Amino acid sequence: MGIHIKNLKVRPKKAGVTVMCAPQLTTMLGCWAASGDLHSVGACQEAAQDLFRCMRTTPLPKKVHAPTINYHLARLRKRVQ
Amino acid sequence: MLRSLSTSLRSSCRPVALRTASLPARSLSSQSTQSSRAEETTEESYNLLANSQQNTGDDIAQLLNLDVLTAPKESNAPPVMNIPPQEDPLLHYLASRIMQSGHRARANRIVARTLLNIHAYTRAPPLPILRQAIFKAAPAVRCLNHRIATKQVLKPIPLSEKQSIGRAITWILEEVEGYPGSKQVRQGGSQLEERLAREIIKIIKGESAVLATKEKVHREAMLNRGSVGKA
Repeated sequence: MGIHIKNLKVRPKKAGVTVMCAPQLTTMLGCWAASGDLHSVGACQEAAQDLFRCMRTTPLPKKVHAPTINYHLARLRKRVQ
Repeated sequence: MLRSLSTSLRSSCRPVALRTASLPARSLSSQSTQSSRAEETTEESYNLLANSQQNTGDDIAQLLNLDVLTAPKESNAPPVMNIPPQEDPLLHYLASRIMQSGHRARANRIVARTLLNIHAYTRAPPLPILRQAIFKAAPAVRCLNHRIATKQVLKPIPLSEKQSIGRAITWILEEVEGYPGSKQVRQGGSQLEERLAREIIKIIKGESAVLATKEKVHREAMLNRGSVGKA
């Protein structure tokens, strides 16, 4: 009856990297583009300090568990096919 | 004599909640206030605890001109004693990076001699110069090679304090010693401490290749600033 797959598994999609302090980061990068102050000593010093303060104070993002789809597929293999 | 006094104080004390200074744990950007153990007992800011009910330590503390820290009588919270770190966290980290095969004393000696060399060149306190150089060389972001479908996308990610300082020290040590497989000629001295001191001075002056590397990383992040929001 149809296709028989011995080991049913998929390549689960990896969750994207969560960027911490994204608004402060975009502000600083935009400031670099506008002023050319890549070392953050002149015009972009304020924006850089904001980013550093944010990185110091925000709690780390919680670790996301890897997808368990393959476990469930292996478990339900005989029922699905 | 001082040692026996401190043990008697400790025996008369209630259990204390120890907190290593008012700084966050192992913060590399904050300095340690204590430079050597010999100066500990004479520091006026080094507060010792006395039991407020027994008052056995008060007269001894007053004899030594130490501030007596007593817990407020209303609260049940244990009194807090601020203990500064034993050595500067940045120097400790630098020594850890230089250390090989567990030879901590050798690494500490190299760091100490580097500071001495900086002082010999500048005739100024060397530690602020070292800190300034490392912070100047530290990048704020890194670019992650992120694959979306078949396309390789560079995604800028902000670095924490320790990460950025770690990268700066990696670059400085690579510049000074070379990376495995490189055949660069050692310029600036046969000793690591001498080369390190020269590199620190070059960073302060703005002539170092480390600063060019940092600028390259920052430029790459700036050019890819559009991919911050993408998954």
